Amino acid sequence: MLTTQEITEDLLLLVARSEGLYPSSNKKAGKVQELLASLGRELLLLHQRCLRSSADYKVAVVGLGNVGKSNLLNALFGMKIAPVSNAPCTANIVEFHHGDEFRLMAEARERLLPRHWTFPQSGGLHDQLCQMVSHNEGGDRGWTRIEVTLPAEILSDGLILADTPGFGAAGDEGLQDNETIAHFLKNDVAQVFWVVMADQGIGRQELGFYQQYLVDRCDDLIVTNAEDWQHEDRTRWKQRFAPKLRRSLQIHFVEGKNARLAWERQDAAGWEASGAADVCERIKNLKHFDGRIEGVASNLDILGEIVSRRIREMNSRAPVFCPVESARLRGKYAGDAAMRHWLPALAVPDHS
Amino acid sequence: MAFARALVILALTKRIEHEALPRVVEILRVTRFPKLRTMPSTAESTRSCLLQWAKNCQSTCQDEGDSAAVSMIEAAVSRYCEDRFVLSIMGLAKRGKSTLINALLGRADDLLAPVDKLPATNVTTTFSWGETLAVEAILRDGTSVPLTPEDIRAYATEEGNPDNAKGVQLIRVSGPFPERLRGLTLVDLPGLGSIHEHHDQIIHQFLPQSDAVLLLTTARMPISQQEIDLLKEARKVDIQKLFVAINKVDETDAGELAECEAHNRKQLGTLDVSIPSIHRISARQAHQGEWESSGVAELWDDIGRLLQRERGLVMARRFVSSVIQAASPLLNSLAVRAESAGKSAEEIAAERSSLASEKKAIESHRPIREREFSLRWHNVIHEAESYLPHAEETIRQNMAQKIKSTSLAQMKALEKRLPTLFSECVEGTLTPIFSVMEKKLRALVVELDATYPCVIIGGRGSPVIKSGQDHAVVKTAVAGGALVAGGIGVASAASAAIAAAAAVAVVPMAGLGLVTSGLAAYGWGSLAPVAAALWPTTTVATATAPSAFLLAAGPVGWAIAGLGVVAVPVAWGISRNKLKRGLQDQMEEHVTSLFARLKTERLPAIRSLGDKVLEEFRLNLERRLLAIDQALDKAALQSGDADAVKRDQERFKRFDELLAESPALILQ
Repeated sequence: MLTTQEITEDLLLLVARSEGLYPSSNKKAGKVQELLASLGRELLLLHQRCLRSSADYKVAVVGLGNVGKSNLLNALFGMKIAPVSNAPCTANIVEFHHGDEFRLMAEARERLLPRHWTFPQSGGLHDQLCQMVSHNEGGDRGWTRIEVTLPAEILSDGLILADTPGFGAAGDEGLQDNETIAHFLKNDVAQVFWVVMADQGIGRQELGFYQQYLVDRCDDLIVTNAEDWQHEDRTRWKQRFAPKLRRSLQIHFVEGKNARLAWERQDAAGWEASGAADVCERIKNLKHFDGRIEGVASNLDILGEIVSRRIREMNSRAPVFCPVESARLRGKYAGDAAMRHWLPALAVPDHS
Repeated sequence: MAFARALVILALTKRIEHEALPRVVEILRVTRFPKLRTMPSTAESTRSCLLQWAKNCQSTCQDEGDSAAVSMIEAAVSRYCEDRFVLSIMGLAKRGKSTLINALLGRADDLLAPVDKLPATNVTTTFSWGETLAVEAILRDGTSVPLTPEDIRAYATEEGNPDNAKGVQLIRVSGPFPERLRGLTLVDLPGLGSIHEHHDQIIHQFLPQSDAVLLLTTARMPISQQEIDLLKEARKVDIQKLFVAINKVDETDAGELAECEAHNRKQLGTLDVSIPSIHRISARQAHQGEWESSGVAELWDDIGRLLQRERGLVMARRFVSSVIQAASPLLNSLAVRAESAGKSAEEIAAERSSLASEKKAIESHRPIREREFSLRWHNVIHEAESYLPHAEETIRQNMAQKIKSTSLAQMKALEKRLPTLFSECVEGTLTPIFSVMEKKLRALVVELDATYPCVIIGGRGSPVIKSGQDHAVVKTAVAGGALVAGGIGVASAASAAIAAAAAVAVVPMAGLGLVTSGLAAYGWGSLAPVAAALWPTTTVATATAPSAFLLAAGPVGWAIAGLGVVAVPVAWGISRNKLKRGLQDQMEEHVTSLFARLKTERLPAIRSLGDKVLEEFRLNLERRLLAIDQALDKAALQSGDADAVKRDQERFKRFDELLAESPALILQ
């Protein structure tokens, strides 16, 4: 079976070959060039995701301040680890790894060697973390890297979850946080879970953040605080905001409080109903290569659909793609379900 | 009594520094008005006290048969009642703005300010008090659509009117709301930072028009950079009157609330604005009727106190001075009669003839003074006008440069920001020119006030016309304890009016008032509605209005108030032209139309204002002289009648005391 990575590479080759076809002086060609350039960019991003999928997989939880990112993580871990407060509280990025013990490792700018702590219980770890990442007095912003290990089932098989400061917080600290998150997302993160609060909806600032940093690696939007949102309200919520987002994005409503309560009671049905199980499932899915690549595949699928439609709308006399290369791909992928949306784009233009 | 009188004058003419006022009032209370010791403290109670006082004055005038004074007081009352503060409620989406509005309106439902789980409000709505419930939508093309309350949801919410496809500029609601809304216009603004871009434009238009701004945050979401930016914006347009309230406190526990408050305070501290206290409210509880426990009552009192202190004081001063101005001829005449008691018919006759000759003397002086004023008035305007061509060129160039330097990709964003850029550019260029002009014009009126003839009731009740080179006579007369029935004379009453007018509500006209009348013509009407808002149709009322108008220099100044702000979004808002060229053309067209209106409507109106100011002074003097003349006439007839004299003295004393109560009412 052909892998998504191979498909992506083939398509990248196709774009590269096609880009050389037209002299840029041709006005009509300008549009084709534009399409090819943006297609090239998208494919490159997808390809990067493919490459990452086989390495350590970092999943970041991001969102505005106080939407409940840390709360969600605690629900997923099944214990209270990440600091939760009502003022912006998470000032550093905290990575959570799997391990048998509760351990904490922190690097600081002025230290040669990282510091290590080990805790018998989760409580000690939580307290230490609170103290380290606090924005308020006593908080030491000198930490450059904080890594936590804990025996949470969801982190097994090399999955790493990361808690991030809320973006868009006020003041200089807020600006600094924004930079930290942007840097982290750009360089370290394979996939993003984006958290928003149900009754806040999605604002312009969040949408801007999504478009700038998340769009290529975020397949899941988590809508928290959905306690009193009935089915009909949830549908309206989706209708209002989904058109602004990518179609590949899945929207999960989560009742954070109920999830925590259900976990404490070990109430499986409640856990299921709170929506947390859903998110858990999505994250667990990322433990294995197939799951990781799934998002890439669905993005690729949608991209094919869009490209096909755009080419049809352009109604260009000349072919958009290099005829030789597209003929090769047509042959190679004939009947392949993964490529069904791309095939119309690869077909020879019909001018009858 | 002389002391109290002096205080009255000092207070009215604002010669006592603001901080000294409470002390003065305290002295007044203790020495003169023991019955006023329990002072009303809120804007509403001050208002009703003042209105009651005006009614008493009016009925005295009625009894004494001064019908001119009666109608002047009536006009002053109706103007005072129409004067409104603008209180804008803003915040990010989902902070409970509409819920709070519904609570303030005393509505059990959310028909007037629709509420939803999703961000709802997408159109600005204003609420003010009225006899009957009336709703209208003002569309961008200037037409007005009458609505029923049930229709509001279809016009004012994102769900009913997605992307404001109906082109609504503003929804206006008036109705028999609770008493607390009298004298107020509440503005419900769409939530900031929503994905629906058009919201912000609306908000930035309304900021300059507000007397007070309430920023709602929630305990759940501590203050964010966006909110800080909004406050900065608010400060830029000179709104120092910020209130911050944390809403939805009933949904958070005490610990969370404390964390949130600490954070908010810290962030607000960086802003350098004085916010005395951050209120904790629950709009939902208030909406459910738990007014006191919801914290809204306290917030409301706080806002009321500020409005009262700032603009309320100004409004009250203006009101009091126009009532006193209306009543003082009668007071003069009563004084003259009371004091003429011991005088023989001959003495009175002598006084009359001396008055007549003094009158003649000033008649030669007065027209020259008036012509001089008129000339200087026109010169000042002319000078400002001479800078306009250059200003027009500057605006054109700046705007063209902005459009030119924007890349094609940014064009759409520019189109959205252009109205703001345009009004900033217009205001930035024109404000220096017009603030100089306004300052000079104001100085002219102050000077005229100081040098214009006024009547003094001197030593033994003898009226003297003072050609008014300085106020020394007034001062000595007051301080010397001589009977000065004219103590609040033309000059001081006029300057009280001037002082009172220092912050007249021009700004609301820029949008709230004008938006209906002038939208069809680029949203900026002629001066007519502006004038109408300031001085009602009765001619007597005109007497005090011009100087009031004159001194109404807001952050932008009355000469250009609203010029840029309202003119722009209307035309651009409906435009679908996204090309550079199109924007360039539209901009050119706007500048041309703006300056044409400035030259053909606004400046001529300001010119003719000079005549109105003169008219005010003239009318005042003449009414007074006439009243004194008549009083002397009557005194001559009653000469020797001891009872009549005693009655006159009694009547004078009562009326004098009544009028003197006013400062204690204002200065709280």
